[in-house]
Amino acid sequence: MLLSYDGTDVLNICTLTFAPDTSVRQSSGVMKSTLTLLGAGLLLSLTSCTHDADTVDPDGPVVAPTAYTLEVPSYFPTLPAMPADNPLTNEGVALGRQLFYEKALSVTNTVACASCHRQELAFTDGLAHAQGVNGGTTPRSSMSLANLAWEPKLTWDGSALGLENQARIPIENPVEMHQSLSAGVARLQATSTYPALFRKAFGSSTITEANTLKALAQFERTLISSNSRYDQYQRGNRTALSSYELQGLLLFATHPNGKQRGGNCADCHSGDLQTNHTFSNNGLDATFTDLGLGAVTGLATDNGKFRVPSLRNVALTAPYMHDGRFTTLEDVVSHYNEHVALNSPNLDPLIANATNDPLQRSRTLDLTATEKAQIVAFLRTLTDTTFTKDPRFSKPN
Amino acid sequence: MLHRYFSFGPLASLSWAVLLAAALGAGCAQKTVEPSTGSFALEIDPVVGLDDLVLNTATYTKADGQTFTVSKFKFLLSGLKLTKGDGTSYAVPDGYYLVDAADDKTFHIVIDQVPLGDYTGLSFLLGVDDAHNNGTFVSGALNHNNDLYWDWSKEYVFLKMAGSSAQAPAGRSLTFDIGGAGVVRTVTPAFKGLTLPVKMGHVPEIHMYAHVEGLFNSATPANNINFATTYSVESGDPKALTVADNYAANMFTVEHIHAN
Repeated sequence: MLLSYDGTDVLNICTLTFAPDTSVRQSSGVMKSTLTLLGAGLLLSLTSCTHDADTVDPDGPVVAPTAYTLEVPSYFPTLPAMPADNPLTNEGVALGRQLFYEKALSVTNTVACASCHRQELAFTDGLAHAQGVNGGTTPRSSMSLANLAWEPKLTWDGSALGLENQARIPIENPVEMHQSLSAGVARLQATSTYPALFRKAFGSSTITEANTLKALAQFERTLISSNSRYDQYQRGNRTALSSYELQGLLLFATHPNGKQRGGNCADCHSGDLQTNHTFSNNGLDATFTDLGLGAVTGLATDNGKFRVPSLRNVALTAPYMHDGRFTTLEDVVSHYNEHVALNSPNLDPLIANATNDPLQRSRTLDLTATEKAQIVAFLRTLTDTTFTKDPRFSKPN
Repeated sequence: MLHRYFSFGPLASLSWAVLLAAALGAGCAQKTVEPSTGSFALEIDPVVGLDDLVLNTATYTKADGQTFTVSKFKFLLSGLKLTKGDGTSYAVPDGYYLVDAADDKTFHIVIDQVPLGDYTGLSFLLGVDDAHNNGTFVSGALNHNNDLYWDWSKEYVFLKMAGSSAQAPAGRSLTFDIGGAGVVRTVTPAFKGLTLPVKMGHVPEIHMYAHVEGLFNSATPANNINFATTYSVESGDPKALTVADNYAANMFTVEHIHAN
């Protein structure tokens, strides 16, 4: 039913005045549940309830969607609040999953979100540049999708605030799915299946652009990856990582200062989600062909900055960087170790200042070959096959 | 070890309105505000000199003429304590606060359940007390995902400043990540004879400035930070103690207090 009341976990309001009533969860009608609440001594919301236009829907009364229970590992950061107008529901998530795999949202009926975000590759496509309709290719690489509910800004340049806003971009981009969302909605409306699914999720069989984006966002928020060997180690299984991998973790986490050796990775890829949610120029080029964040903000001081992505499942998401220029994880670590463009404008300060030189004079990171290999070994422990095989995220039948 | 996050159907707002009405209508006696306490607010604005801090694009000059820009400036506050003219004090329990120049929502901190009275002084820790410095937190200011935590040493970074300076060696930037053993500092900004009146029905506000240049300037010339030689201060660097002494003395000023 519409309400899962779990006492003070959710809201610290005077629980004594309203005893959780499990019958509310089972009741099927909006009016009935509201009346149950009214029975608890309330008069406030009767008028709101009577505004429910769908009570006169020729298809019969609308059944409110059921709350989706998102399971979040205890050591993850607190889940940011969901958009108030798009709470997770079982029906909304199921619809979003259907839409994620729906090729009718592309102009040629050949490309779905899932075409470039394949589950077995942690929702990437294995390509440097994503392939859209009619042979189009994107200038940037498909981003991996996992733990997006914690990301305030989406896409490589941060141009989308929130998943609802992000979802429209690839659908309408001429080199991706190349179809206006309004045209996609018309196609969905004409099917025999989608109107009923939208009605279950959002209370109306009239499909809207907003509800299409909301459903996609709901599904994406359920894509939680939390069972890599690194996660198992974080949960207390001290044998989940080998000593070699643990050496890599230590290097990954440490900023070198001449006494402690470090790979300088967690200065940006910090925390359990391996990102500080910022934008950074990691020194790929001395001059930019893609301005990244700078193209969005118009600030020269943002040129060359791209989103710091989470490294979850990074062994599955090659090739690397916003333009897919590096084929292997070894290439990536070598970039940071010895190939950073030191004269790149807006180079991240922590990259500019990081070296393992005991005298702190070297301009490069100066890891040994063994240390580089240890960091790569650690990165491979971030692979979560529970996630890449989770049947809840696969193509629906 | 999974905790559950509940979300709600489209009628959630309706439901909450109903619940709220229930709470209010039924009187909710246990939530009544204690008459002996009130609230106050801290407004902490990052500045350089007299100017609001502008990240990335603005160039500033410190006392010795060296110039710098700021791309990151964030810090943790804890252990707030209010003192009265008679020498008594009130310590705010379990209060940890993150101020991040990149997020102006963090500049305003409201503290509730403060005993009523006229307070004439404030002190706080810049950083985290030893008892909590190795803590495991997933929410609030001490969340390990706030970019203020050293995973390798299991310690909080109390303050981060990053930027650039023309006086730093070629190709080097400014990175001051201050934390670690012996680095937490008590800050007691001068109240300048002002009074913070905590009383029912008002939320008085202490308006403070957090001066970035306070990290680098010292009344002791030897403790001034010269970017030509000191541009990167990380965990374990003895210069972290110097920077901490500098900011404890020079970073915070009370501008005024609104009685509201």
